[in-house]
Amino acid sequence: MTADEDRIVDLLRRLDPEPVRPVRVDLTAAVHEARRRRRSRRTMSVSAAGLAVLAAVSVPLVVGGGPSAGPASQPASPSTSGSAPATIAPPATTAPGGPTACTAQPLPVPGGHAKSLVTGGDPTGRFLAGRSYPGDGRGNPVILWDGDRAREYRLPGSDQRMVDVNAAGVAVGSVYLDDRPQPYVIRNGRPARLPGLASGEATAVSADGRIVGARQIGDRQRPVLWSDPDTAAVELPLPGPRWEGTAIGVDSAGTVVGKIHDGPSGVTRTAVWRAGGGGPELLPTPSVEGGPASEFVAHSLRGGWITGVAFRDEGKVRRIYPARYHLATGRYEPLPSGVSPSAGNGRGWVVGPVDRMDAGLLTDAGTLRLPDLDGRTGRYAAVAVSVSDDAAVIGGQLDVEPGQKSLVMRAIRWSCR
Amino acid sequence: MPDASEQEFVEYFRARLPMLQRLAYSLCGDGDEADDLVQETATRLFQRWSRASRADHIDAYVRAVVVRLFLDSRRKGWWRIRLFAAPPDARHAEDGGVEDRTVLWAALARVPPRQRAVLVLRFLHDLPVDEVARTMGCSAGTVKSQTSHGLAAMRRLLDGADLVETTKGAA
Repeated sequence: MTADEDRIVDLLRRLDPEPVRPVRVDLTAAVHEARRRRRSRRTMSVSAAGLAVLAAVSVPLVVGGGPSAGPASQPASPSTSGSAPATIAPPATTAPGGPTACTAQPLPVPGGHAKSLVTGGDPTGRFLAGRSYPGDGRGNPVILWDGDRAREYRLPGSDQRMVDVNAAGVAVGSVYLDDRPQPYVIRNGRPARLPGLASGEATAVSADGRIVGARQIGDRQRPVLWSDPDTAAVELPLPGPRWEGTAIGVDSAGTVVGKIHDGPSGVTRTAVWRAGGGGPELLPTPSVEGGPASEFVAHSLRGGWITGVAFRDEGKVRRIYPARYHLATGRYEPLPSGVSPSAGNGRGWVVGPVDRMDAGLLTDAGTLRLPDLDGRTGRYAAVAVSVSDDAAVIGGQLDVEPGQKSLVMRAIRWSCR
Repeated sequence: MPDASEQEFVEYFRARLPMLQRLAYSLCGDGDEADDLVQETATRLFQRWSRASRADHIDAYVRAVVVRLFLDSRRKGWWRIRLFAAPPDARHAEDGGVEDRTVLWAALARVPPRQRAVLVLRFLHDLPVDEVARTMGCSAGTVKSQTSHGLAAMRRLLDGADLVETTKGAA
């Protein structure tokens, strides 16, 4: 991105898209019109064409089991598809159920900027990473929190985001600079560009400092590994020349997990590269309520658990199920429904959206909704992006003035017990 | 008598109106057209409310409806070009911020619709690339390339516009 374009981005970010008059939208009329269209076969067939266009780009996503699914309802039962041998998982282990209550606390923001959010966290719960929005034309300062101590880092470019941190406080992510994403690391308090790629991003860091991510080539990505922050990235082998994707997790044993697909329209597969090289193992999909999932998209690798989302297409509705795969046993283990996972922890528990406005923690015991600052739920557009291995610390954000014209998001730490 | 689902829908939509109005307005740059977009979005959402209300990420889904309706309207030529109240060269306002905003809005209105939608979602609405990709129904890479093309277009359109820093606070 040129300096001019940086400037334009900054001006755009500050552009206030507030129409200078009240809204003229009649919800009663919308309800009546919707009912009329539902009744009218002719109109339905006309609007169906329009809806098909919409459906093509945004298939309704439904959390399997429904938002009120209780702890024991409809666990995703394990099975396989494709060529892998069928495995039967044991029933859910009797591990302690996880936290039963959480409280929300705004994280301190250097400079006191109104808008901030959390972008990642470490497995122990000590470190969180995030960013703020000073609107000073220099992009987003990255913030690393060590407990309650916040430190700000000014990285070059724009859209700076550190998406993972390890227990030593090493954070990885990317910035958008010179018209392309570029991988960055912050180590020992010093930001540095990761070597070996003209363009790309880092997505995860292991306890011993291995980093994974993707090389960006035009519109395509290819999974890469940095064996340490000073060594140039190497591409991970893919099943064929058209395959592309990104690595999403790495552990200290050298195992890498990614999401890859065969060409731009291929179904996303979860890939596992074991230490020692060789092509990736492609995981089968789990069985979910109603049959085999069509897709399993991994979001995290923590403590030997790959957590992510299983999709099952039923007509025009795409149902979402949380799913977790245990690397040591090679099996999907049941997980109650209720949350659409965005990140997981070393127990195979996940955090993610629940219903429309809430975020939740999903453990073996079921869903725990994360409260807002007043201890209530349902009004504050909560987002959870990281969860520690004991689930005592969850990082995310809350809209602090819900329903107001100016949505102000604040970086939040939920402390759970 | 409104039924429970209608009440739920109205409650949800009313809470989201400011956000949706801002999105629609920043896409089409016209208050009347923005209202029409939001009205049609409300109608379509209630048509399928029983399913949509259970959707994960319903906000993302509703945003996608607004964006698709906007892009469809551009493709089908339904809209009339109603540029912003002040033309780009009417730069006589005392407040540099207002002046710049007018010029910026006018430039944004001339960026091709898909690129404009990407710029609006990413920078005016601060959505991450993944979320924009979901909303637009394309890959993250496409979002990035459309961003790049959109910014280049803005740069060309603003060439010589000599923008000053606005004095407004952080967005």
